[in-house]
Amino acid sequence: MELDDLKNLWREQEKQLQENWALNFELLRTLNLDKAKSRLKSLARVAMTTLIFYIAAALYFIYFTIEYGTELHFALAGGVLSVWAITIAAGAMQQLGSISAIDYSEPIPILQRKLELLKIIVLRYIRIGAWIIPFYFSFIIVGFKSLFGVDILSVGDSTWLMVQAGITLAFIPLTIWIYRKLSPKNIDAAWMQKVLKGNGSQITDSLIFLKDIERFEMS
Amino acid sequence: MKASKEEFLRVLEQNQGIIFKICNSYCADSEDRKDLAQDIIVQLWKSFASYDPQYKITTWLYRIALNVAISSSRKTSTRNKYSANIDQSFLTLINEENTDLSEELELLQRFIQKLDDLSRALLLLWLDENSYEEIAAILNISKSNVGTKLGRIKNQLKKQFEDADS
Repeated sequence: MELDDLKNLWREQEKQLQENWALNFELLRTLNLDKAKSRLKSLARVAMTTLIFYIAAALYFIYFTIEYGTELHFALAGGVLSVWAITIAAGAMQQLGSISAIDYSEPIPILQRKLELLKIIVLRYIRIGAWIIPFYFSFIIVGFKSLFGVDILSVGDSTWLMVQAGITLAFIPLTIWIYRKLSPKNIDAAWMQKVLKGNGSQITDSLIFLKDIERFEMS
Repeated sequence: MKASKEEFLRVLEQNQGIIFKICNSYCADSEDRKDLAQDIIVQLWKSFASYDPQYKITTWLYRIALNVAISSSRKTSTRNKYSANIDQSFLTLINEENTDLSEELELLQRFIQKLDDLSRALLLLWLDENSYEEIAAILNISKSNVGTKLGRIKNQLKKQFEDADS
């Protein structure tokens, strides 16, 4: 068979499709298409949930900082957690802005790249989230005060507090390492595949598809 | 500017074949095709008011339909979680589908299904007799790149047909 005969085959298929399928124009005329929803909204749902959660968290941490800010350690712990929650909320807000600017009439690789980059935003959250690791003790301070009304620094055993300080210092280089390693550039690494597997294969798929798009545009 | 629904439906009626072919190429079963057609039409309507007449209407339509088809096919596993909010389907099966396809057509379809999403779009556009220039505008690649990629796909296709003949 000659390759150009394929186009005849294709026309034959088009004829079959036209005979078998029809668009329901009666329904399309009567339905309010502005209210019809497609299932392309899941990305916005994730961003909106993240935004609501972290705004609520930020509000609480700000309240905590103001309420107990007269004592330095409470002010620092509340302040750190406030900044962290606000950063993630700002990221989610930016993501929502990007989603609303999505234009499906853009060329296919451009739009698909934007969609995939939005999907891997989780990776960005994990990276931002990693910044909080050395400050984990802030959660303990805020948590004990909020839940039990206890100032853990004044009642905590001094040896235990020293151990926490040591862990905090050890977490600093670890966090820098994690932040650098959790980069989309490392997607091909086997360890990255394992890490992301637990966070949904969707991220891995997105990163692989991004590479496919790049190859498609280049070669 | 408020888009005219009658104008939109006229464009849709004139180009519905494109939607059928894309749904057929990106979805294996009838229900998925109906869902995809609905997603494509809703997205076309949302974008219709901002249609830029510097592009051919078919270029605009292919871009949106293929973009929606590719994003939908990439989240097949999660699609079913989100039930459509319209009881009736925009796409209706009016005749029982004829599954007795010619051997060649069956071979072509199997080949199309095996291609990655972007190459599939490229082949579809070529089979639909779009010029290299139009394909380049839809896929944002150069005309020479369109030629190179199509050449590769055609070689694979030729081999598949030759293997089937032997």
